[in-house]
Amino acid sequence: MNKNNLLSIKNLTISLEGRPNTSPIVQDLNFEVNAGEVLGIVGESGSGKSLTGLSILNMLPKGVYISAGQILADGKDITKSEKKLLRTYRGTLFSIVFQDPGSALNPSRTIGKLLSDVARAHGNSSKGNIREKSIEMLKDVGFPNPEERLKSFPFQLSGGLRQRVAIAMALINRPKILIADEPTTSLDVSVQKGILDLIRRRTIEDGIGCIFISHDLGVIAEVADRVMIMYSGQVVEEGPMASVLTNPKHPYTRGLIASAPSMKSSLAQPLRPIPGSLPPVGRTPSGCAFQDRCPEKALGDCNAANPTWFNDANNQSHRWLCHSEAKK
Amino acid sequence: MKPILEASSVKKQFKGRGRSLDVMALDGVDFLIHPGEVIGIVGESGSGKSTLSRILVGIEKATEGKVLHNGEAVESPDDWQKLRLDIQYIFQDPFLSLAPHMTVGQSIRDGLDIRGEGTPLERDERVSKILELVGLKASDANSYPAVFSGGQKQRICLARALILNPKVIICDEIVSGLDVSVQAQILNLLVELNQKNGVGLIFVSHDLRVVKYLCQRIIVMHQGLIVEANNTEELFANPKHEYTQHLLSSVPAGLSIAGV
Repeated sequence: MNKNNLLSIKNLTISLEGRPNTSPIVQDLNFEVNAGEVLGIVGESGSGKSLTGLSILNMLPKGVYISAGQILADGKDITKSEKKLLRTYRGTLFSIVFQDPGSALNPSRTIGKLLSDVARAHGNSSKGNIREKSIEMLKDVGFPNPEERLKSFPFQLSGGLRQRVAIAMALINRPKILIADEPTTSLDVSVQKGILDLIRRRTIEDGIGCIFISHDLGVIAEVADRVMIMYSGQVVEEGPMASVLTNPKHPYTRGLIASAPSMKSSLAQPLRPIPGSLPPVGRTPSGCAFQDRCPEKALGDCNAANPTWFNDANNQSHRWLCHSEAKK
Repeated sequence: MKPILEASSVKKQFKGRGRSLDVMALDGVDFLIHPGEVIGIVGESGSGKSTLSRILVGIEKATEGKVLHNGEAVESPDDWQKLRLDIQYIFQDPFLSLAPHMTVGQSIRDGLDIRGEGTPLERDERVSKILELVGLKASDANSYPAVFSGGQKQRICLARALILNPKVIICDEIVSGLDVSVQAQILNLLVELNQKNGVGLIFVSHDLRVVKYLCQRIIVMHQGLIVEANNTEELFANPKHEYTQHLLSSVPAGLSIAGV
């Protein structure tokens, strides 16, 4: 195994409990996260990207469970670990930053208390030590005047600062893997940039592995080294960021790029939306999941059996799932 | 051409409660839109962009200053009613802005019913037509909002605004909660409405990429003031105010290597 490998997911499948006739909501996922790199997961709402993140922490909501596959963290299979053991993993091995820092932070605790709670629950630091650690951590995440702000409550901070506190809480026990689930979606663009830079910097400097989940390909393009494009519970394309962006292969990826407005877009080159919408959860069609919306459907036998993986000739780690290699 | 809607030195102060201070959400703002124009209002949260657009339709009352409709000051309740014949408002969250216990058809028809336009049968026909215009089926009128996706709900809100033949629609962050592929569908629908039907748009958004795509003129707001206003190309090519420059440099540019 690769020495830098922190997390590997093998054939992960997530299903709905007590609904045998529905298709899995995450299907046969395989990926690895290495130290010092950001893996981006892009997909529309309902594509299973957040559930993938939650499944790693074993925090899936009720009624949803891992029906097959393995999650190997630091070489250990944690898929079927006992609850007690999982507790020790959370916070120290993995941690997570959620979308909305307003509702992710306990409103009745001060910043100092929030940080020391996490440090004490998972670490083994003494009291004085924790205060120093908290201040150092807040400095690391670019929080101005941390000494004075330890007594502030979350509501006294702006959205950007709150998200910095959430990231400090996630990193205070030096986890190996950080899962960031849409951490900038509720923030302004000007604040977003700071948070993206911060996550990148901490990933490289601390040598952690980061899974960055977002629906915005533009944001992922800023922050990720590798990207996985998810559609209806499946990965349809994955590879190094630059390769996927400059040479998108799957019709869905191409659709995502064509429909995303950018700084160069204008009415002279109209956006090309993907027609239709995602199939309802649990009703992924057999064959290719994207067949109903695919503009290039006529080229392949799209509802037949399962699509196959094709590799990019120039870059073997860039691959996509389709019925026909020739689609352009 | 005369501006259809104007705000003149509008100020808005929100009274603080308890220990919190008063907030000057708008500190003297002038704004105007001509028929058929598409204007973007950008700025970060708290900059006053939503407050301004809410004042323009009378959801909030200005502390100081005036709103003018077709060049005349809007003062009495009757004036406001007349203004609302021309101006419609669509909110950010389509999940919260449709009554869950009313069918889509009832929600869309409501405005016509209140105004007593046409016979009931004609109203139903107009509902069918407007649903098709926004890309839904006429039969969707009998369904409840719960069965629709976010993008479809935003289309329904758009239909509800359009049925009254407004001259201007104020869109307050209406595509922020939508996925990109669906967002592009709604944006293209707005472009079509503007170009074919001449509907003017005031498009409030924090996403500069969307505003750049859609709008002819852009207003940048910061801390309750308009710090820069220009036509779109000029503003993006040659931002003058420091804050505009800062905003432009913050937009994720990662996609540019994909050639878009």
